[in-house]
Amino acid sequence: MTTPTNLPLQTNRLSIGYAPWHRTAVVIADELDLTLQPGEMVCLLGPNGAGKSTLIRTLAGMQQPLGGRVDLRGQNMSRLSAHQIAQHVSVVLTTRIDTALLSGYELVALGRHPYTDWMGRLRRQDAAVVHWAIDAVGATELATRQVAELSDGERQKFMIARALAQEPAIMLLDEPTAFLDLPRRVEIMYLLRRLAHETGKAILISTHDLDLALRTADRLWLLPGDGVLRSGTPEDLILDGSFEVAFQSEGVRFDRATGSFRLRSENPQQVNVIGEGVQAFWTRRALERHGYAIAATPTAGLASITILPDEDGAWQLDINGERSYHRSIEDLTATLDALIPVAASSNR
Amino acid sequence: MSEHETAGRLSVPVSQASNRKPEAARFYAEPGLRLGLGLRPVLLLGLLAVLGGMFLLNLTLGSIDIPTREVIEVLLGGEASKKSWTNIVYKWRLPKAITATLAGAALATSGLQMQTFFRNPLAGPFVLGISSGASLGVALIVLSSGTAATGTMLASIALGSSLSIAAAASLGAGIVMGVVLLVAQRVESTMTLLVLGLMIGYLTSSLVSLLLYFSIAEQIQAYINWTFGSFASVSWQEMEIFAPAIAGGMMLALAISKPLNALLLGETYARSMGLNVNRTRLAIIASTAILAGTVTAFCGPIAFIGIAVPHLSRMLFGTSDHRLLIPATAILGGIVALTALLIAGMPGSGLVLPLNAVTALIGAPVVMWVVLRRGNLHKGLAR
Repeated sequence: MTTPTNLPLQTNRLSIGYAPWHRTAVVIADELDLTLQPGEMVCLLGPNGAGKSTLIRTLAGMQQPLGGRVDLRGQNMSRLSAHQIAQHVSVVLTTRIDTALLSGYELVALGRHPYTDWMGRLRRQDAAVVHWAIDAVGATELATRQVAELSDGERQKFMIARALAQEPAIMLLDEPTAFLDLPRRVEIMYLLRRLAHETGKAILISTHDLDLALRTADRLWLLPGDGVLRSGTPEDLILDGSFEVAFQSEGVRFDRATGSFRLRSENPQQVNVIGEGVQAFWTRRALERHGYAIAATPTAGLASITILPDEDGAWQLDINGERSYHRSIEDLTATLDALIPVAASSNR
Repeated sequence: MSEHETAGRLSVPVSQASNRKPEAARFYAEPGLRLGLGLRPVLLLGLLAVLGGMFLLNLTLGSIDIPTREVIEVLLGGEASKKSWTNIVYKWRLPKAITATLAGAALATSGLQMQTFFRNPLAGPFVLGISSGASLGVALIVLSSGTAATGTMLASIALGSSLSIAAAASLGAGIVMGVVLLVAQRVESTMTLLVLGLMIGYLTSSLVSLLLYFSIAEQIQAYINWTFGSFASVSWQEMEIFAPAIAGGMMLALAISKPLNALLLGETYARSMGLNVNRTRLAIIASTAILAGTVTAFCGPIAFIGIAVPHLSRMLFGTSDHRLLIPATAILGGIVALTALLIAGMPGSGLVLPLNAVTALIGAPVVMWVVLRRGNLHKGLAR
């Protein structure tokens, strides 16, 4: 078992922020008592400007805390040299690397920097770690290619492999998926989750991909603008309302029932959807997109839409005693819009 | 969908720290063979041979041609069949060729360091204001000397062995580098340093302009001659200072090739890998100051080599690894400098062209050609 003193990372009344030259310090968050457990993936979420990067930079030792302390495996970080910190913590940043003529292998080999001699020669075990790291991110076939020729997603895999080759207890990633397309984001997040579980490293990721974070993270650190960080499993934070509070904003609300964000509309018209399966799911999505609310009980809605399972792709619409049939969702929503406009100011 | 399906291939799950290294070793029995240096060592040896050839050519060709056999005889400590040939080779051409080799290597290496340090392909050895400082020093001593002394000053420059010029240049460069070093310890951003270096350059050149404005034609000519650059200004006696200084600067440059590699990813990554960025920064500036400062002091502000050669060697060797790039760049710098020296000497004509004009006139089209050709090559690969 991990005793409190050798946790990969533990903070004690940590205060983060900026201390500009000749000016009073700007505190972004304080009284932070955080821990990272071995083998867990934690996602750091919060709106822009809440201080995610500042927290990551402080935990990486790139920025001095305004108060409190950070312990790496029980050792006070402020007493460690950059060289020692590098053996505990590695980072992946948002910034793109495109000036260097390096192969993927050479890039990952740079991660051995804290362990090699003054000429940076790779010993046999260093080379083995580099190969292992490249293999772990599934990029072995690309290792001899120039990094400049790789796609953004492939390059990010090598940056993760480089961080892995540094053999840290903790990996800190600042928006590692920011430049990637959706499939690549999903791939990278699941890759990181797998690496955390299989290598026993604590991985902290700051990200704007709320949906992906909810699905992949073992734990979330929520950092809303108010400077109070909340930590917990994604589900706990959703159920106790912390998630909603952290991301509430004009016109957008988080829907606990579906775990996704919705455009907020005032007094939406309620409709029923009767049926199950894929067709019903997408019908509900379409109706919500059009600004209708799906009624919780079958009798509450103004209109009732029945999915007809026998006739593939058909909808039956009952409204005010009139019944009509539709062949497509486009057709259905057009009819619905004409009969009960979303904008109608009825009190139901 | 399970996460294992999504996450790509990892044939053997890596579960514990204890069993993963042998696992990796099984996949790659000989990593060195698989991802080695390729033909690069051969290329390096080839360049070394070209350097030797250019060196010898510089000793044989000139205002009069001396047979290669005779030159080798002199190099081995013997006498040429004509006494004058021994003199020419030993007293004139040999120090000139050695100076060119060392100066070319030094300028190219310091240029490479600055390009990596500033992550800017346009950086060169003089971006931090070394040549500006040196030129101010030289301008002060040349332009402030009385009219009576001008004649001797001109003569001494013509002879190309004025230690006072070198001293003034060193002092000027040293003062500027001292200021830059002081600033570098306080400033966080490398870009700030770059801007400061540029501003120091403007400051000194405007002071030089002012000095020129109030000077007489002979003084101005003497100053202009210095700015042309010359490899002929280092005597055997001065070589005792010149060569060890360059050797020291090169040694320091080689010693920091690992930190330079870490800096390829930028200062933030370098710091996260345990690099003491401040100390590295001072080492880079010190090495550049020694290399470029010494060359400028003795040979004048030689442009072009420092900016162009690092690009040539990166293209030739296809790597950014400084452990290979520094020796490669140094050798290539020597070759380029010796070529420029040979052309500036206009073999058989008795004429000597200004060195700075030759380096850029011959070098710039070569670099343009290489860059454009490489661009096409890339397009070809992408298709």
